[in-house]
Amino acid sequence: MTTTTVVPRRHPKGAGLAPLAGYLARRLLSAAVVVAIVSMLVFAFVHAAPGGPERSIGGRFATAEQLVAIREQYRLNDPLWTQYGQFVSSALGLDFGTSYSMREPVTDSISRAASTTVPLVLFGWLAALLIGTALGVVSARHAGGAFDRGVLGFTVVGASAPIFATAILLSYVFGVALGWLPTLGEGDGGMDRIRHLVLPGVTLAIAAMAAITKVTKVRVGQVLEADHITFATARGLPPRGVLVSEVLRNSGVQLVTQAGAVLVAMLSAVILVEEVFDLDGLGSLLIQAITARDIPLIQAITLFTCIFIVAVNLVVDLVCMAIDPRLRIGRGGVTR
Amino acid sequence: MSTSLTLTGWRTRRPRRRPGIPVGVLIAAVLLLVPIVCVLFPSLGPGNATRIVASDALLTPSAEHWLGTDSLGRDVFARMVHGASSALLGPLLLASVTVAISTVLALIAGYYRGWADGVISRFVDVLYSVPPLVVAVVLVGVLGGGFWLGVAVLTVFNLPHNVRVLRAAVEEQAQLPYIEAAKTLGTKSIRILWRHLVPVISPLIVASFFLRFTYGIVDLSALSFLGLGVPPGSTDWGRMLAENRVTMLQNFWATAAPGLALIVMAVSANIVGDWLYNRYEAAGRAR
Amino acid sequence: MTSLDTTESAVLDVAALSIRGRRAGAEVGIVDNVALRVASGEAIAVVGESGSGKSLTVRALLDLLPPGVTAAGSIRFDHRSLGKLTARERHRLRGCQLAFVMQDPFTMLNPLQRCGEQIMAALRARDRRLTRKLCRAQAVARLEEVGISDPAVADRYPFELSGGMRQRVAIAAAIAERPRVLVADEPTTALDVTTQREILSLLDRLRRDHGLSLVLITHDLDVAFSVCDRVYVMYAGTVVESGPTAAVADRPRHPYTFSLIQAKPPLDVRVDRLLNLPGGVPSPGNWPEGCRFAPRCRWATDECTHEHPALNDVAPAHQVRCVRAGEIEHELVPRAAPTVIGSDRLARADETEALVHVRAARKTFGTGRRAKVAVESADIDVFAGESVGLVGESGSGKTTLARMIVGLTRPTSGEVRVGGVDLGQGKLSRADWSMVRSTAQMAFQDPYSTLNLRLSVGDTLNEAIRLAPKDTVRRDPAELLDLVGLPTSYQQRRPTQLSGGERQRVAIARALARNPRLIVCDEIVSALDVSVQAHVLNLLADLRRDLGLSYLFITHDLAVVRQVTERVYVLMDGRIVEQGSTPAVLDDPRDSYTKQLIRSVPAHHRRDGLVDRSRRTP
Repeated sequence: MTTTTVVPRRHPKGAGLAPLAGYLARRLLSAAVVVAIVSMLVFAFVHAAPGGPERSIGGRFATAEQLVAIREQYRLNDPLWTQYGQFVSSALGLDFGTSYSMREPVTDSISRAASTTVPLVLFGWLAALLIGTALGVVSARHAGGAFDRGVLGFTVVGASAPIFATAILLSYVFGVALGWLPTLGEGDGGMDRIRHLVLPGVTLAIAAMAAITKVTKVRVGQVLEADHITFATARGLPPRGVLVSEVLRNSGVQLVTQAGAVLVAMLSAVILVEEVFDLDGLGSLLIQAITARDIPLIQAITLFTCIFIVAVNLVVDLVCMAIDPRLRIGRGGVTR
Repeated sequence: MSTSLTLTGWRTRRPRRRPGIPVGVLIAAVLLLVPIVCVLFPSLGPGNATRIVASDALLTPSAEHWLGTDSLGRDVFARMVHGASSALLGPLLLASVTVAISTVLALIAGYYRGWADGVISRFVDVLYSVPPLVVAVVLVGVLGGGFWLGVAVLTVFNLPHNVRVLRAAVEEQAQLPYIEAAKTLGTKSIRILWRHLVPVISPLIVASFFLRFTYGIVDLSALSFLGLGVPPGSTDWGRMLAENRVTMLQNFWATAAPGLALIVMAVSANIVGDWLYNRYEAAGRAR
Repeated sequence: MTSLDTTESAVLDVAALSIRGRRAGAEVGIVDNVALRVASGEAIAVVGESGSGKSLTVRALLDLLPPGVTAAGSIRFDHRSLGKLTARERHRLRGCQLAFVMQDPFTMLNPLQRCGEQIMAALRARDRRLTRKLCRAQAVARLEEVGISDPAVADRYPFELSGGMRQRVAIAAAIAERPRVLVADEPTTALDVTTQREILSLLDRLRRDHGLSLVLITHDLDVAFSVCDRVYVMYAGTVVESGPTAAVADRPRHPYTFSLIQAKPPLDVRVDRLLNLPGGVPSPGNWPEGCRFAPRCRWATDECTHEHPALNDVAPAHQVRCVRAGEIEHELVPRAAPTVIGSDRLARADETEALVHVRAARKTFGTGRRAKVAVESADIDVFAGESVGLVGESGSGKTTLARMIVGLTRPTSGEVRVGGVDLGQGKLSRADWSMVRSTAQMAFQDPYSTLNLRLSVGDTLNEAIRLAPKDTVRRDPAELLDLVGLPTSYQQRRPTQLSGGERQRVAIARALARNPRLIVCDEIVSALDVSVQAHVLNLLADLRRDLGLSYLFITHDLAVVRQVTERVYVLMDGRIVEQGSTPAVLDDPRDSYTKQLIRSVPAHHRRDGLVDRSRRTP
């Protein structure tokens, strides 16, 4: 039997759009469930704080009468479920009430703080992505060389040194010793503001970059050893084409996943960096709210953080599925 | 007519593999021993960690005060030595408990599979992408539970990563013929776990211990730095860093010492952990 | 086309090629003074066991050596010396003139790119004017060339295709730019035997249709003989024999070539004993003085160990690297009179007790819509003292069936009786399990993961010995090692210090520790080199004679089945399609699938022709 014609054994339905939409719907639903559960936890645990919420509001020296008045004013005598319902319905309208400590609507405080934090995080993240990926690719390609060892040293230190310690050292070196850049506050807008955000941004970027470089180097190193790279080279494909369509594409899932993880990890880092550089961002706002036992503010920030994490994970998953068709299988209801 | 041909493809150099322990790892391991010495000899050096001498405030390093004094005139070197125990204890506890629990969970999930695996994997998936420090900041800040609540919260939120890494290793090994052969011979599953699986993944367990230790140092000192967990004035390195920072221009070393100590500890533990981890991976590829 | 006398016609001419690499910090030779020539439209084979240096040799031709490995020598392509070309020019040569296909179709293609795009990638890179639409049309045409008539394959990702299909796509991609030479490194080793035949005949057809020269790297002499005009046999970095296929196959002149042919189990007859070739291929850096094969050679004399022999002509175009080639010529006669074992040695199945009794066994994986049937209504018996084969290709369910018999998987339904205990019935008592385990033990395919690397050989054996029932003979590790022909001193060794064949022996010894009556052998020789395979097969025959063991032999290799079994079951897609006594099934197959399997064995190609020429495409 000569085989001049062969029909493929399996004909999976490919990756149609309809099952994908179903998957997306399921993911959104489960994301909503997670956010709902977290909102309950957030709501519940502030009520579990020592002395209850009225103590938090009234402060340590409030009298019994004052506490009763607070309970009345904030409807703390209603059943917990009613209070939670109230909380949810206003939260859906982006109304988190009034901050005890800032004496203004919670959303106002948050949006003001976000105007500092968002550019800072975005700058740090994008810089880390671009430079970290580049460093990772080059050091994987020259594995074992001087450049690779230098990068390795940088990633080990950058990824594990406590960020507040590096932040203080950087601010001492560039702010105090060299006097190149301001180290405190966010400046008066325009260029001054940018100058003030350079050091915090760089500090954030260094840690993130280390994490991205490390994963890129490992994954690209694995891909470079794969047969399909040898096969592509053996077919005379141009090196740049091999880099883009073979190496980077096949590292894509890991890189995107790590980029998402780094973005989430920057939530912790930004608290510390804002503390060191005395910036009025979301991190400082959270610390302030905690110190002041400002319950509405704590609830709002935690809830936003949770939504942010869930959203990042969802986007990461979708991007990974767009990169790798194998991930669409099973999730879109298609089996091999 | 002889001619030399070398690869013109992508990777240009082969990773050097040297036998033995690299110098960097050795140095890191030795540095990790320094705080242990401090714990064993708490009265190292000439100063006093807690005596407040207002007249001696903010002295620069001298023979009497090796790292100078802080704003209250306390000896920084003595405080560093004194703080070593708190710097070690929290991360050690966090790393040990995390590794112990996650090893058990990973063995159950990766070897026995079934519904237990489903429950454990679900737990891991839900908590996986939560940044531990943020949760610890909020919980410790609101509940005011102090240092030990911080350790507990960070332990719980460090579990998912560790379980995922170890579970993957257990699952990979459990499918290999040597385990199937042990099953076919009738070896009891406890013995398969203890005699076969745990020894094979033990380098990974040790590596994960060092990595968790690193995160312990970083996150616990961050809590202290933010003023959560430890009371003001304690000799915790993170706390010292926060308190001495404002006087950095007067005595640089009062700030630099705890900062550098934290960096050196975290980086050293990470170097050792990374090295062990890479060695385990390389051994897997070489089989 | 079979002989090549003038350099003029050589499209690829390699001379004095040496390859060096680093091993444990020291530089060692890997390939030494190799010369190869390929004429336009000719097919040559480079044959050797692992460690012979054959793969690195062809990678040097393509300038694809791994990092840290360097080559020196002369490589001329179409009269141009590769050494005089710049790296860029050499890169351009690849794909355009010299193409390369690798072993594993599952890893060779970019998993994230559609097949059509991969086939056209090189062409698109050179010609930007090619539109997407034009590309797809061309890709479909290229697929047609490699025997894929379904245009939809161009839009599929590699993971959606079977191994054979992937290998076809890879070949289409490799020859997209109409190269003149195709280098194929073990292109069929990872494939099932029926697919192997299809790919080999495809390569043969491409060679004839496009005037393509073929360099085939293989460990399998039969594959080489079935497609190639000339054969180079490599051993420990050198070519030890080269010549026209017919000459090398019928009158091998080097003892190594002869041993390889003798060690390979024949498909058509059962021999008493396969040739036992002692030792293994020396690794680079450990090459002996003089002739590198001398320590393993039956004909070696003192002069062999003095100096490295030269490659000498023994016949027109037939060269041998052996100083005694002339003297021993008459002794190297392949298998003149094979000892065929009569049926008197076969166990009379119906009179003995059934160790394994499987009825209507069914196994599915997964549930609901996604359930996949692995084994369907299987009936199998293995009687005491009997050796039974279970033959099938990948996905036939043979391994699942084997795992059911040793209790590693439980059947979904049906009866799986082992030593009288039905593994299909819910919960088993401790005594039941003990019965199953004392009846059947298993040996596994992959020699590199069959042993726990953290345990010494002695510890591994002791782990098994302590599980033997109290009332049976307890053997000690030394005795077990002796049974499988390994020295007692091996107890202290770690698995990493053992060769693949030695690990398999230890694995067999471990199975023997429980004194089983049956050993289920799951492809235990398929990952081993031919000479090592012969060792293990001989060992199994000895153990059977000495201990009265039974075997259930799972394999894809019909020649192995012929040597070690009396009865055979043929599986396809989870069902038994044919069964009977081994000679009857192999000599007179009834089922069409069995017939196809037997026809696909490479040893048959040379005799019957690889391609049915009358149906060749023009």
